[in-house]
Amino acid sequence: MKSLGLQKVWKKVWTAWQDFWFSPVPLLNLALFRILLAGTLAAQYISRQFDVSLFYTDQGILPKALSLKVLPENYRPFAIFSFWPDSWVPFVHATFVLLLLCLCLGIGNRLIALTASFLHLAFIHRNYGIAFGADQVGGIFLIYLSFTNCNQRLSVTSFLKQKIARAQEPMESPQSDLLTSIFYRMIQIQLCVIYAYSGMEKLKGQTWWDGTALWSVFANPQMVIGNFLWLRHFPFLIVFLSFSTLLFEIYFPVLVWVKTLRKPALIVGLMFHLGIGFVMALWSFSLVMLAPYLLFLDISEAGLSRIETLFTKWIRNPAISP
Amino acid sequence: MSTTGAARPASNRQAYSKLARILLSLFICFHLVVILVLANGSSFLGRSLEPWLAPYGNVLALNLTWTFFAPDPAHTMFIRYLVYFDDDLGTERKSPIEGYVPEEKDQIVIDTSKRRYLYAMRFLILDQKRMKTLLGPFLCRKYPGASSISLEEILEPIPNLDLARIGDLKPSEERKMLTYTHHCNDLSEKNEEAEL
Repeated sequence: MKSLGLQKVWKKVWTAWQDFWFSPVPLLNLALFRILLAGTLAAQYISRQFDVSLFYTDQGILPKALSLKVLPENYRPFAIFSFWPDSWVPFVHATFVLLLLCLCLGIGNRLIALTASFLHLAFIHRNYGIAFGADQVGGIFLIYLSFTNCNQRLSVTSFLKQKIARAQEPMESPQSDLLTSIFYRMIQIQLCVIYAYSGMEKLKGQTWWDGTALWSVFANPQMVIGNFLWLRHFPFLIVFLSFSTLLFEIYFPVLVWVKTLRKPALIVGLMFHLGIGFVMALWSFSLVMLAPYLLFLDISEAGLSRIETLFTKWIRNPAISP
Repeated sequence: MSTTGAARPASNRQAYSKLARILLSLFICFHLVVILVLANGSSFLGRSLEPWLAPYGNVLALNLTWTFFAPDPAHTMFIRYLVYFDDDLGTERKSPIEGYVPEEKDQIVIDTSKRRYLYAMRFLILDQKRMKTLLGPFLCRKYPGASSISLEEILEPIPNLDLARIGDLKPSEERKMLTYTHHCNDLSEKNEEAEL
């Protein structure tokens, strides 16, 4: 009797697990995520292209021989992937940017994304010290994205496929495969892990408990892009924003899974990241963190499917205004 | 006959699919443990499981601790340096050059590439050995002909909100965290670099 009960519980758990990890996921959301993530990273790395000699060659800040040695021993990968000589660095970096642009436009297949991920890791390991939060978070999302069939919607590839098929009727909507479902969920969970740890790590800080942590940000010229010292006249606003940050980061990972609370959680997150963008000009970080929000949205609600259909029709026949 | 023949591949497919799902589930569990444990790598769990998790996590850069502005937002930090151009006898060949990393010192930095430079500087001064073995040699390369570089790591604490409210907005007195002179042609410096 007992084992029968256990079997039932196990079956329920296994079914729920499969529903969560292996059920089909909306590819339109994934396509939007791909565009925002790859577009943001491409824009960020276009600006880095002009400094590659400083950051990634022996003449710059960090000689290759010391790339891994500057990391604590337990953080070192077994090898760095940047096998190319220094003279190739600008070309390899430009290729990386090109691959990200291809990914953004949805050109090619998983190989493009996997190669971009490989190059991303190569540059991260080559000089870890210059990595922004956006590089770190975006890189992880990029790796996850590489395993999905993210080019099935809103992409040049899918458009060409449709054109080649010359179907009278629009092609049947593509379905996600197992790997896509898994890594779609992984992106969502990774976002929650980042928020949860960021929030809990802040709890160790005296200024976060004091409610004045954000004052240290607003008053630090190395962090902000303008003079925010006037905020000292509104101390309660600073306290409110500091505690709100803590509460948001700690509770987002739970709230976002509760259907009725999902939208408010995402809206607060949107405001939080827009604030970071405006005050600190960390736009790439904000956009990289906001990109996974698209995976939590109900797409039909937002009417994006309709936009896509109109867009496809317009591409087929530009004379028809969308 | 034909029904059995068709049923067999179907059941085979089902078995493969189940096996694939089990194997993928094992991978998912492992990956979740990696991202959850390595984010707190200095914990007991992190230390205990490191040999199994770190090789995978380190390669994919999943070993990050998510400490944005934590435990507390950082204070203003910069490096002041003086580049000396002396000959072997210690005679000055050229006037010393003063500089800062970042060049803006404690001013607002908007340019993205300069911000990366600022990040790199923060990364270097978090560990004094890195500063000695990387920043010193880098500045020697930046200023050809330099004989030595004198470096000072400066921290300018942000005045707290209570002081700021009564109008005291000046940074608290700057603190020199480290003073160090790097000799550009000294072989022992190179040995230290090799030992990093």
